Amino acid sequence: MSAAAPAARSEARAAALVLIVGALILLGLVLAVGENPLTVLWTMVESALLTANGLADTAVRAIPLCLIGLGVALAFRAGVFNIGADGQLLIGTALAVACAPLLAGWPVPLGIAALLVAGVVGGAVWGGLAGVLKARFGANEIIATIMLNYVAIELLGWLVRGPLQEPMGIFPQSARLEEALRLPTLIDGTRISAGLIIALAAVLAVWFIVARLRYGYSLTLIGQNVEAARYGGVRIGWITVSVMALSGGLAGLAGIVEVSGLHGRIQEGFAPGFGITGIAVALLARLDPLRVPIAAFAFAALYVGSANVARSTDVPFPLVHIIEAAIILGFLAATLLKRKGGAAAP
Amino acid sequence: MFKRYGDVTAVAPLSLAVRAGEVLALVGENGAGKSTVVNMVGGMTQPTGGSMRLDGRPLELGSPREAHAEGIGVVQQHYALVPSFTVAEMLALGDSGLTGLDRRAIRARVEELSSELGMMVDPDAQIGSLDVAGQQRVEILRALSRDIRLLVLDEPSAVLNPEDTDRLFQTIARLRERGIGIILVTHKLGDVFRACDRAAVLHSGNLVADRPVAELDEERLVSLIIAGQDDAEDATKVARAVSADFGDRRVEPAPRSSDTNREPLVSVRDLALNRPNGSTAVEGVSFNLNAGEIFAIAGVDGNGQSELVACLAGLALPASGHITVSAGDARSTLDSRNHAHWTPGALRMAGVVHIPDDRGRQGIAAALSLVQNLMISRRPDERFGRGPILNRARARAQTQTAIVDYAIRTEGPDQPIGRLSGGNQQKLVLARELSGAPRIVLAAHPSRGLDVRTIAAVQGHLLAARDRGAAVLLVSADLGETLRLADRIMVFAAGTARGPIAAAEADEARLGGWLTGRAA
Repeated sequence: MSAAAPAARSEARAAALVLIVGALILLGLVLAVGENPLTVLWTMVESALLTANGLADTAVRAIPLCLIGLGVALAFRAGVFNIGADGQLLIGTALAVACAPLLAGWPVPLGIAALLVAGVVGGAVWGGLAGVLKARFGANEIIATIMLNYVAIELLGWLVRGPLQEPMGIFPQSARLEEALRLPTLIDGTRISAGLIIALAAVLAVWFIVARLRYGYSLTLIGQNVEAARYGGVRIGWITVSVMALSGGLAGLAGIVEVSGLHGRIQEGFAPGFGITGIAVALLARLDPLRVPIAAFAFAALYVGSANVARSTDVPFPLVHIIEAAIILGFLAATLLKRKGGAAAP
Repeated sequence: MFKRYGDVTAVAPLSLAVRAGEVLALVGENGAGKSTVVNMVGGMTQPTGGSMRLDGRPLELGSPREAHAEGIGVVQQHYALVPSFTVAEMLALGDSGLTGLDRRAIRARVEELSSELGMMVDPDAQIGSLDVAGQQRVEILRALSRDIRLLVLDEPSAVLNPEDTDRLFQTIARLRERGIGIILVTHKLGDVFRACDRAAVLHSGNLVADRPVAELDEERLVSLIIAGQDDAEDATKVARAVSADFGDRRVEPAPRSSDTNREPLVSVRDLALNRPNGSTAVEGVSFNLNAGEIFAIAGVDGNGQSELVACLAGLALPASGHITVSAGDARSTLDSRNHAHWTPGALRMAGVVHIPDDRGRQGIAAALSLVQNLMISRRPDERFGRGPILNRARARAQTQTAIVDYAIRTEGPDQPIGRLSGGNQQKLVLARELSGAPRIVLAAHPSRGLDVRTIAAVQGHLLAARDRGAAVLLVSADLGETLRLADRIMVFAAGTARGPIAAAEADEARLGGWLTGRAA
């Protein structure tokens, strides 16, 4: 769709506002802990983007954020607010890890493929459950997905102390995945796995769904005017359930890619706050699948940079979460401002 | 003053004056720029250039609020009311500070104003329980809640029945006596001659006439609206053709070629319909809808017509009774008692199309482009791709065709439809629903709010659909339209259905008796 000049201008203004608000909050907080903002900023940028190691770390972190962000963007496009990527990620990963012993001895590409499928299925079931609750009983999906997050967290806590615990039975974590089920490293000397390729393939797939398929059109239509969608013959209930399953499936995929490509085993808190960051990623990308990887990379850089800042200065790590929140709030504010400015149609 | 959107000039430089105690009619086709003028006067949009003055004072209006404070009240086509508020609370909104409401003072003011203007408004009534006319009265009162000098009414009579329209014009007359200047935007030529002193005609964004109504006759006005002039010969010809097309022509019944052994496409049995609030709108409705006929439901709005259309479209279920739709092609019949299959999608696949009465809510998605809006309705021919992949090229081509065929005024198929005028949006909805060969057409107020030329086109399309063998259900509050188009007529009034009778046996007196719910 050709963006008219005024629309582009007001989008740019919105983006600028987000940046300014985020920067101001950051500045205030850094000053509050008695550090030089310029030093902190430089450390942040340098450690995340200007060194080979930093860049690699950022790419590693961007992989799960990209996959989750894609799923969130799909659901949000249909006006279905999936806040439960965290839970879907955990359940998907847990199911895949539970299936891992069954896959021992499978040929390499097949075993990994089956592992990933298991992750997608687990996440899809968990997401689809919230979708069914909404479509069948009218339950608010925001509440349902948040509640299912807690269920998933507790369930994982039990699993890694019970059925899925390592044979030694000492730490609350699973056994290591066997080598044949690990995603290969893509670039030697870094921790970047083949998960990068999976994430980029997912970007293309989701773009295709949104831009080319009748299904993607139905999502957009529901998101824009659910009454018009119903009137036109779209099956709202089915779309709600399926888009939640798709969204959850992508979160589950993110989890198992993280385990198979990076950690090698599942344990509590292995993907801290990824689901919420995924929402920020999707919003920053304006729910456009092609912009999701860029937004994911930006948030990953923020994360890696802040971690380094926390290590080498007095600025505490939770700052990164505060910045995240600032960006989400700034984005929402900017969207509202924009809508108000553009409301007067002829 | 004038207004441009990008390269498009919505309103070319124009000068207009409204004197105190004068009613100015603002007329023109859909997209001629009437709404833009209203928006500029009311502070909703800012003119690109030019100036405005009120009582000699120059005006810079940044918002509707400022306009109201300066003494300009606007009653929009779409009311901005809060359904759960009472009338008094609604009127207090925006005027009160953070301190408590002085309900008694507000109520006194409502009663004083409404008795002064001869309007019946109960200050304690809930907005949601009022009919359209009642809500309009509240909007007028809201506009009058400050001392205003100029009142703008945007198509106030479009949604009213004849009785309420009479009352509205009485109110307008009283406001005029009080020395308030009034701009009346309207599509109904009758309104112009009945209530207005002067008429300003817009054509393609240009002011083409500004004359006392006494100097105009209907034919001249029509040709000004359509052609932008009334002297050239071809313009007069166009006007004659359209008004003949649109005027008193009574449509011949469709040729009954397939009269023998014909199954009704839709059969409605003992239907009772509830309003959204649970009260019974109408009961005991039974009729058959046959191929090749226009079956009209007449009656004042709010007597179950919208509920009937919603049921037939699969958007709601009847309170009791049932509907069956023959799906054709030896496929099974759809029955409303089978809830799982009585869905908009299934009915559309059976060949039902639906022109909704609430366009903004159902018919379009304002932020999406014309192309995307053309794809809203599911069709049995799966014209935009049979498989899961959309045929975007075809959607685009059909949008182009629709723009040409229906003379939709737009920058192009990618423009968001919300940027079009209401009439042009309706044209796209019509193009979408009536293209192809629908078997069953549900047309709810298809020509409401449209200009004369478009109304003639819409009615032509409905007749063409009928002549192709479609069954057309027409819901219209306009008795003239009903009598002009229908083969059979049914009336919903006072909770019951009368008729159907053949249009040939119907006359205004008999229908009028039914409409008021008195005569048997």
